[in-house]
Amino acid sequence: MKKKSFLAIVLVIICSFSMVLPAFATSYVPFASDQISSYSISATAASGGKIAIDFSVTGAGKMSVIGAKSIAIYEKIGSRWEFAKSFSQGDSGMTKANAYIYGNTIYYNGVSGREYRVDVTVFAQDSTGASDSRSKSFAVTAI
Amino acid sequence: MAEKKHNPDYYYLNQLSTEQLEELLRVDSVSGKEKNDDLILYILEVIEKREQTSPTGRLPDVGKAWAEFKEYYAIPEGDGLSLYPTKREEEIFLNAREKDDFEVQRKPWRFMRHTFIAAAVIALIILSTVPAFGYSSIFQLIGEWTAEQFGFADAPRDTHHNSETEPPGGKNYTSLQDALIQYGIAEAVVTQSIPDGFQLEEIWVQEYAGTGNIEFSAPYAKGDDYIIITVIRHNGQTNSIYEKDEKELAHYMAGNIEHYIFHNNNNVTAAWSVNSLECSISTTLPVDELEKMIDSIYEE
Repeated sequence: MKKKSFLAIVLVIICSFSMVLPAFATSYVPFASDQISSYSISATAASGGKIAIDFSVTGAGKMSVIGAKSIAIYEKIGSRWEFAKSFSQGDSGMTKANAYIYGNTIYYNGVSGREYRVDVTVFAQDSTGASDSRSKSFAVTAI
Repeated sequence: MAEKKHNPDYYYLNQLSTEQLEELLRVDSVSGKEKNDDLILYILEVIEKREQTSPTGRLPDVGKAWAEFKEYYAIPEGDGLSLYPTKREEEIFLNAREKDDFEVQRKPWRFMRHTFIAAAVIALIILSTVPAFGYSSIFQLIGEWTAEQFGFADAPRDTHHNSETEPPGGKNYTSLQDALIQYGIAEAVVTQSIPDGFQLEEIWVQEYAGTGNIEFSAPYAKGDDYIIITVIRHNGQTNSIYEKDEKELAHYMAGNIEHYIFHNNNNVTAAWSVNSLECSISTTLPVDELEKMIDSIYEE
């Protein structure tokens, strides 16, 4: 009986997928990119309250601009995240022009023991002006 | 649409055939153990995605099944009857047919046999591949991918290089191999054969303070075509994500190392891992040219 009920559940799930997924298929956008080949983003606690934000983007060919589009840092105050600092693509060390690949480490001077949220967006823009971006968020406690 | 975050331990399931996945579902359903719902759902999602990409008719047509149910079973004559035998009916049925009873007794053994076969196959795959890469965990050697992304599971921490003897970044290098050697990297990871006409654009080396990783890259160009060779020496967790489209990922063996080849719209990437090194070649060239470049890495 247990086996039958389990098989029934599996069949119901399969049937559910059959009915539901086609509806998603129309709005499903694969992550393949014409501008980005690969990327990596990380945020880690460094010594002295610093937070080290590493990013790297490899373009799908030579890009007119490639690198980090934005980095936003929020500090946890009580149960809320309050804006602390941001970096934009025009800031030093964020992007490189006419390059296939770019990456760097950007530091934020935090306070030891405090918790921060770091939102990072990397991007690549080709010579036609078309661009693509990817984002990641991290929670880091400064040490 | 954001995809549900899955347990990375299940990514290896993407490499099993649909038949193997169905066998795992069957084994799980008869094992009598507590069900692993996440595993089952992950397998079902993999099968569903494959079915969407290449329909085989494996999944039932719900509309047709419902119509058949209404036509043959949900009829006035069936009111008050069960589709399945009740316990009493089952007892009568089994008492009357001893042969069938014997078959019912044999089924657990058949399922046990399937369980052992599936377990043996999985164990053989694991045991035959893990030592070749020298990794302590199977998840460190297996690439993980979905329809739209590829990445490696955790890479082992680099323990072979002394950072005090390493040169600072920003130095000029004559070649990618030269840069790797100056950082004490001796593994064969650089292609020895670049197709005719491609010009080296730069040797790019970046040390990342947060992760301790070092990234080496050499882009080559010829008109609109390009080849980008990248080597990342990991000092801890790998976090690279490679873009890919829905085309089937291919495995290419060379130098006794498994290379994962996948497409990203108009370019193709080969990615592989050697010890603490994550390597890739991305290019606009066709796959056979990419395979030639991979082969040249391991030529004597």
